[in-house]
Amino acid sequence: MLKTLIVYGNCQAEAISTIFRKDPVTEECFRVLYLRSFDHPSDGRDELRPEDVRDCGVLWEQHDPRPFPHRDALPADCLTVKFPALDFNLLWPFNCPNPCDEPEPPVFPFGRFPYGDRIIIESIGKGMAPKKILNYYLTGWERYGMDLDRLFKVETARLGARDSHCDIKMSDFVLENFRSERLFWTNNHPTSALLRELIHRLLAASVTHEPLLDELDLDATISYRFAPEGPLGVVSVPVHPKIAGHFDLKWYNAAERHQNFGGVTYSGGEYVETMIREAISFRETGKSGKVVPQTIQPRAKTLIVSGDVQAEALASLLRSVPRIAAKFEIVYASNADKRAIPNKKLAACAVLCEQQDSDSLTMSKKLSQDCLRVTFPRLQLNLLWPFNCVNPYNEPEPPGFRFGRFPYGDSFVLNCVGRDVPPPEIMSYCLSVEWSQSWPDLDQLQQGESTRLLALDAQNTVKIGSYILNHFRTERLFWTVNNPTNKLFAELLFQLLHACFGSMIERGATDFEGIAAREIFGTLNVPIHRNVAKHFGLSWYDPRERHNYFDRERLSYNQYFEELIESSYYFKRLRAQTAG
Amino acid sequence: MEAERDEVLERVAAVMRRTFRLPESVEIDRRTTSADIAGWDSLSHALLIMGIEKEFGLALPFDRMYDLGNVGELVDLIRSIQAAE
Repeated sequence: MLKTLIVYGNCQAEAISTIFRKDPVTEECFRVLYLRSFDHPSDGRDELRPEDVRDCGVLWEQHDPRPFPHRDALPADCLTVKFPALDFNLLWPFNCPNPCDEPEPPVFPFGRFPYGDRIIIESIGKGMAPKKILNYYLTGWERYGMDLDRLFKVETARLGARDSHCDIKMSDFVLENFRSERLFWTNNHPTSALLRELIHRLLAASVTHEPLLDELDLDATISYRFAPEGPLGVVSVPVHPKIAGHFDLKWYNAAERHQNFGGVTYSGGEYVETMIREAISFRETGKSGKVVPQTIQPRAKTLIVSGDVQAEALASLLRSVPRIAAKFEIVYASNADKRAIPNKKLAACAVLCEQQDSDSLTMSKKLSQDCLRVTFPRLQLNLLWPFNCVNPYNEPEPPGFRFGRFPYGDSFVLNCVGRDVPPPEIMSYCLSVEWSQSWPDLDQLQQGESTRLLALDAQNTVKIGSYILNHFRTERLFWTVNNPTNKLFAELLFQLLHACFGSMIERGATDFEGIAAREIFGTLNVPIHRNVAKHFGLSWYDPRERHNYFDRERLSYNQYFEELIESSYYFKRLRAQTAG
Repeated sequence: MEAERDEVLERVAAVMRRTFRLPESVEIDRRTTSADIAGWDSLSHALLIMGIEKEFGLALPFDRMYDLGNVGELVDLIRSIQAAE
């Protein structure tokens, strides 16, 4: 039974719980629940069920003026670990709540510019014109600046004082690294680098012996499951150039674009100027939204991608295409939890990208009539692995082998194992230079596969079947029957975007290499029989290739089949013993 | 003596009004705590400390600046530092 982990605190605690729910290792270790410590302006506060509190094995409690409210109901053996909120005044010493701003859910639940600036607000109060305020802000440091060295010491004392209330200490890491690495997007939104360090410290304090966690790769999860800015990078407040210079921030880039709520990005100067204009407008009219027009609040709309892991990867990639991410909130709906999509996200759906054969969302009455619906096929090619089958001699061994050591079976090899053919004899068939008469007719197979792929094109908005047929000989498009290479996946992404947005998206717009640095589905690479490669004239085929095996080893063709045979015999014997 | 105490308190209150952008109608006395003032959290407390130090031309001790229960304790701390000088 999974251990229940409750994470209590602000949006940082929520980000931790979201990461844990999306990480394949931690989701096998914990059932993660999150409880908000603050009143969200539009979502309010959630409550825990009494049975969840009774089952709690570990509580991660953020140090907060409002302590975890159900402490008395926790079981006696529940481990409680207290951790600090991550915030930092040093880079934004003039930060203050913006009085000229108001919540506008759902796009601006905290307002358009909730991070105010004391210097700017005071200047607005004096009736200064926007350009003058910007000029004063950028050049008037001598008049309004503060003693940053003293602030550093005060801030050190503040962080230390808070750490003293917590089991996990973070001030050492923040103070040692804030110059060399970006640790905060705003004064209270940490970057993924800082969140990752906090999570590692929390785990170290909570789990004494859990071999599964040796496999934990938070960077991979965060980079794959979240936008490039990480879970809390929705807003990035510019750092004053004087402050960047004083503390010699190595990561500072004066030309950086700053994201704000609503998906709009600004240069540092544009951010400050827009904030000034918005604030002045708000003071004069009592309403926001006069400067940032409604038309650039595009993330009020959602783009939903539904289907299996390929659909999930598409959703992840779409979040990394700036033009799309700025326009839509990208939502992934797995076949398993489609019903979990909040109604308001369904109602706001402008584009629905459905994988063929996934449980259809299109019947949902919650979807708008205007919603654009696009279907795409599951990428699969049986042709290159004519013996592919489900491996009956295979069992999941998480976390390293979540689908088993050889999830892709080979019907010829496994039939031999079933009949107790000695391994050397099986290998001789695997290495055979002749294609046995009893093996599948490859021409017939190709005909059937062509028919299937062209039928997919006829059924779906995205026509990728013909692309596969036209390119599989000259380019590697699959690692296994259902794991496409990035080459093919980039084509699918482009075709999907083209189907959704037409000529707005040109082929180079996705910068696929930039958003998918490594092969998305390349963790396992199943060898192709030499005769198959020869029959279809695969120009890219290399019989000496080493085959990626769950990112652990790279096996030669012979080694792969030797291991498959050995593993299959092992499980066959194991089952016989168990049955006996 | 009492008049001096009031003067320190008034100057502290003025810094607080600037730091937390409080209207004059918000009363600040010795019993006022962070729970009474919107926006007075640990983050903004650092800015209050900096404002107090600038206003009074002194340096508050690091081991006390985050260990103050209410405005009265802050006023007393300032007075004790002034007296020592």
